[in-house]
Amino acid sequence: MENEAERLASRSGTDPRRGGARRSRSAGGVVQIVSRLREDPRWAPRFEHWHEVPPRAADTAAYPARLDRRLVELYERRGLRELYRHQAEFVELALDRRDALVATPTASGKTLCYVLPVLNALFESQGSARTLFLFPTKALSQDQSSALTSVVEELGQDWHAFTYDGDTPPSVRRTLRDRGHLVLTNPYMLHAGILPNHAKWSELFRDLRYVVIDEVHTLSGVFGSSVANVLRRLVRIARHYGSDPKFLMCSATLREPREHARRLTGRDVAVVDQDGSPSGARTFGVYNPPMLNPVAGLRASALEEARELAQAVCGPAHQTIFFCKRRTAVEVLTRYLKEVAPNLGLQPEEIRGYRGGYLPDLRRDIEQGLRAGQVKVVVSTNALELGIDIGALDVAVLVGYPGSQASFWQRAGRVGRRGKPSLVVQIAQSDPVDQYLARHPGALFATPRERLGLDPDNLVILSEQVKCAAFELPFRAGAEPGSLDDVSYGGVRDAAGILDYLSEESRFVLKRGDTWHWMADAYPAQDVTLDGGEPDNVLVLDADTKKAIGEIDRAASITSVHEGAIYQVQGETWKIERFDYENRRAYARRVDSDYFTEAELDVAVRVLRLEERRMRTRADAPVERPLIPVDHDMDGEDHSVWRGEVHVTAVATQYKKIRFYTRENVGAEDIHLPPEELDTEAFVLTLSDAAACELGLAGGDRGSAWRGVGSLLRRVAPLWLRCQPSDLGLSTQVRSPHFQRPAIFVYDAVQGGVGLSTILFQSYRDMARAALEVVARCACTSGCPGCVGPPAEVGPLGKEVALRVLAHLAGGPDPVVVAIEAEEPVG
Amino acid sequence: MSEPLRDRLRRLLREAPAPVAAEAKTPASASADSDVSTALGDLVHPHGADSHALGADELHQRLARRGALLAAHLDAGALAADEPARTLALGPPERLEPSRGGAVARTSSFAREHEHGAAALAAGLTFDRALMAASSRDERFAQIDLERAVFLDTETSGLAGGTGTYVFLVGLGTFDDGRFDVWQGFLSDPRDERALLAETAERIAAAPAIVSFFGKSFDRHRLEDKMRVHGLVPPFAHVPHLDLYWPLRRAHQGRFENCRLKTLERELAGVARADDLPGSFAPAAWFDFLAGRPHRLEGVFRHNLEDVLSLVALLPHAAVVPGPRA
Repeated sequence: MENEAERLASRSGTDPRRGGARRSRSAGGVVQIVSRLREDPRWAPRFEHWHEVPPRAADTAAYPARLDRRLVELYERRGLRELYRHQAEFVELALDRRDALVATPTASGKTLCYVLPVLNALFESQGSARTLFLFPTKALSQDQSSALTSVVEELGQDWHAFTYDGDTPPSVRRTLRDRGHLVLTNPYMLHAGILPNHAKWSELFRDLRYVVIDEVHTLSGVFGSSVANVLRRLVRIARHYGSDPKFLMCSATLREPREHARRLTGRDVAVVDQDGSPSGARTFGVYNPPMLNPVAGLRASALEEARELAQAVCGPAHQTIFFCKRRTAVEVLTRYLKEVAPNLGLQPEEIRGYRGGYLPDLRRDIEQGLRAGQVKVVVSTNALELGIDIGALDVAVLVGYPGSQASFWQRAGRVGRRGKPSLVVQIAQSDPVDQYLARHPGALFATPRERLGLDPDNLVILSEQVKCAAFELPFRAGAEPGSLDDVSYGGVRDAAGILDYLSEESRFVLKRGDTWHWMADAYPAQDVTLDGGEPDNVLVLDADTKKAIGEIDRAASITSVHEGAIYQVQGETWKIERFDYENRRAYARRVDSDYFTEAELDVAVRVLRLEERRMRTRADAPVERPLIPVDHDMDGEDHSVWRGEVHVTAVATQYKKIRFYTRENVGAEDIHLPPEELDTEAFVLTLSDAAACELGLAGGDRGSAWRGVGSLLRRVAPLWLRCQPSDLGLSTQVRSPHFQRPAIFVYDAVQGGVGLSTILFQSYRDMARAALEVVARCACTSGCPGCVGPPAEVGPLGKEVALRVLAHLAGGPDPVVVAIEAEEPVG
Repeated sequence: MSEPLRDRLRRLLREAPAPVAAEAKTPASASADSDVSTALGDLVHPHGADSHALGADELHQRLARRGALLAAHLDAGALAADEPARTLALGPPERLEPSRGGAVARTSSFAREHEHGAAALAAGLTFDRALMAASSRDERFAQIDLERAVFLDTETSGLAGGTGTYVFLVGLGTFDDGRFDVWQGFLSDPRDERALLAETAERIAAAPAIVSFFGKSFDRHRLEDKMRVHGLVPPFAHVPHLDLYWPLRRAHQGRFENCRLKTLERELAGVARADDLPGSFAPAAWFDFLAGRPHRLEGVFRHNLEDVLSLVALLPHAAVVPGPRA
């Protein structure tokens, strides 16, 4: 059984170039590649781990009897005699008008899950039902739009599927608004285009049956929290025009999918997560580049290794995809592979690069080349990670761990869709997470670990979104004082308070009797972004033309666009000439720089409020040989973890100029900028003085070792929390003024926080264990970038002390919940 | 321990504490104005100290009183001694039904002989219909008698667009027997938006045509959006709409500094406005009014009225088929 998305996009479904002879040759190809990699002494030792997933048969079910016959017949004609069980279950839920989420791997036929109920609603309503689709990217919505159009044409119905995005010509927009039965768009357009102009879209909202949201695992952090509010606004508007849309959602396999969907939509969502699709035999290899310098823990570069490995995994009889983390890496690897194409048995034009920033026509051309089998090798960023239809490939090479388990599986899902054997090679980098996974590959393949941080009620995001909502429709007070009579915001605790605040202090909102009205000559959605909670991002401008070349959020600006900084965009280097801090503008000039800059940040954290604490007593701590025996009350604290609110003051102190490739430090300059202030949520780890003494966290080097522990905890956090390392801030204090003992603060690097530190608080023990594993297994002698950091940063005994501290924290029983009041802050 | 939401918001939104009542004072103006403004502020802006305590009866009384006061204020403004001589007299306000008093209208009446610019209003109806049909590229205007048309101009809370934009003043001019009447529907309370829109929709639907300046691109959409929001059927699809901007632009582009209404009325119809409040000030004037500072509102009414009269004055100038450029 073939993949559905792929089938939908193919109008005839019988393209002779697809499947057939070329594919059957490829089967042997992959098997041969695997056996060569496993046996050839050149490659075999570098594979730390092989993981085989046996082929699995399809678990199928009949089409739900309630589905319109014409719909079932169409898919039967296309060769789908039955559905996979998860598809049938999902369709039943959708037909019952339930909000539902299907969380299964790539290529398991998720598209059909929502296409069937959506088209069925059109039959049932004789064409009056409407559906809005939200895709994370333009490319995906265009892909799906043509797929839906082909189905509708084959059904012979006068229904219309349209993509509405920034590229939609104004002349088409009107038709689309009035006649689009299936409107495909993205969260940005919904936020800034559709909702603020809802009257123009009243035809869509009058009978909006479903809102389809694809790839909901990408909706986390600030962006996800903003989108959750855009959905609240959407429901308000739909209700106003008399419809009650249900959410149909898809995602990659997720930990706690139901909880995520609930926070995103505010509703109790039914979850289908048992994958019934078949799969061919899959082989996973975890490749660790050879150690170049064991003392320093330095391994060969993953990109270099990918170049080498290309000789074994590329060829004319199958298709290979390389995933790189950076756009520049894509260009470098593509150019190299084109140069050596003859050695791979390929023509240079059979090797293509693919990334965001390429023009749409070029991308379509490459996608088509992949589907048709003319492109044998593609080197991509995460641009091909989401569900763009490129057909099934055979071998995937992931250059570096993509940063999340969901991304790993999305990338791996690009191969082996047709029940044929496939191979995925994960090349580890020197990063602690990569190295942890190289040694614990089980963690890659086990059930999902990562939680998604999402907080739609973050006050900064909420107040911005409430402004947008007030513009769209006035708010009405509820019966209870301080409440709202509102389908979406009625249950949001602070919404009424925010409206009062806005009406009394900002004057953008006017309160008249029991209603709040937007009252300003402005269109708030224009000034509210979905990815940054705050409006005061810094624009990076070309100093000559004054054209914008980039944008950077407020907090990052002091370390990235200070005067003298090298700002990189699309592989070009720009030098910042002037940073107009007041007006949030940085002026840059294009230079050919052989170095990049790295700024140092001094971070001070002040505790504002503590909300939760877990503590372990000394009596419960694992018994160790104390270096310095400390006589102490055994009921006292061994260590604690906390969750609370903090004020962060970050000062950029100086920046270093570092050569590309060699990482040689070629100079340092001071930075003179005001401090950046942040009020946010933090996870805090404190260690009692007694435990610190016994663990040897004392003397001159203790700060360095403690910092090593902190930075490692932060770096392994993405194993349990879907985020970028830059989403988390770190501050370590050997003697915290608040706690009067050693403390590590890991905080949400977003004003108000979006729930990341809550997840750290929950996952703390797992993080401690992983951090311990990384240090314990690292081959270096006294610290390296792959574990606690190089000795220059953590001190000669840094690794040893960090190891002891982590073993102490990871071992023994868990800390238990204690009341916050039990501990009055000292001083 | 728990911080009030207000302080928390101020802190998280990085906003300094609001200045206390910094703008509460009414700007200096004529003494009659100040008195009325104070009285109006009390009534029209009822979120003062006692706003939450009002019973329904009391509210009605207040609203009724508001109508009278509004009338007093607007008249006082119109008749102020230091106003230039050609200031137009505006009609008294009356309450629109069904509304709680937040939608009012006033009709200002002009003799057909009233001179707006170089010509009498009646001259606006003297043009060649065939030429009008050609210049407007709409054959229907060869037949339609514009004597019964509505001359439409609106003032809104903003030019950025979007459904949240309020149309707070609708000016509709019509010839009636020997007169030209300009009906101006005004929103003095956003809660009564529906009443104003319903009345507007009804008046437009009853007309054989709409005449506006740039209204097909702007005014129509603002009204249509808001009518849809309130479940009213927008009348525009069924009423032929003559937007003077396009034929005037085709006929006169390049002749003057620009093709704005103000330029064209001056250059083509000899209209000279005295002390006109620029249209771009209208949103702020309305927000001020809602916040208890009605001092600029009269100017907006007059500006809108002048706009409507200028539609009539410009009408014959649109019935020109552009020849080859000289």
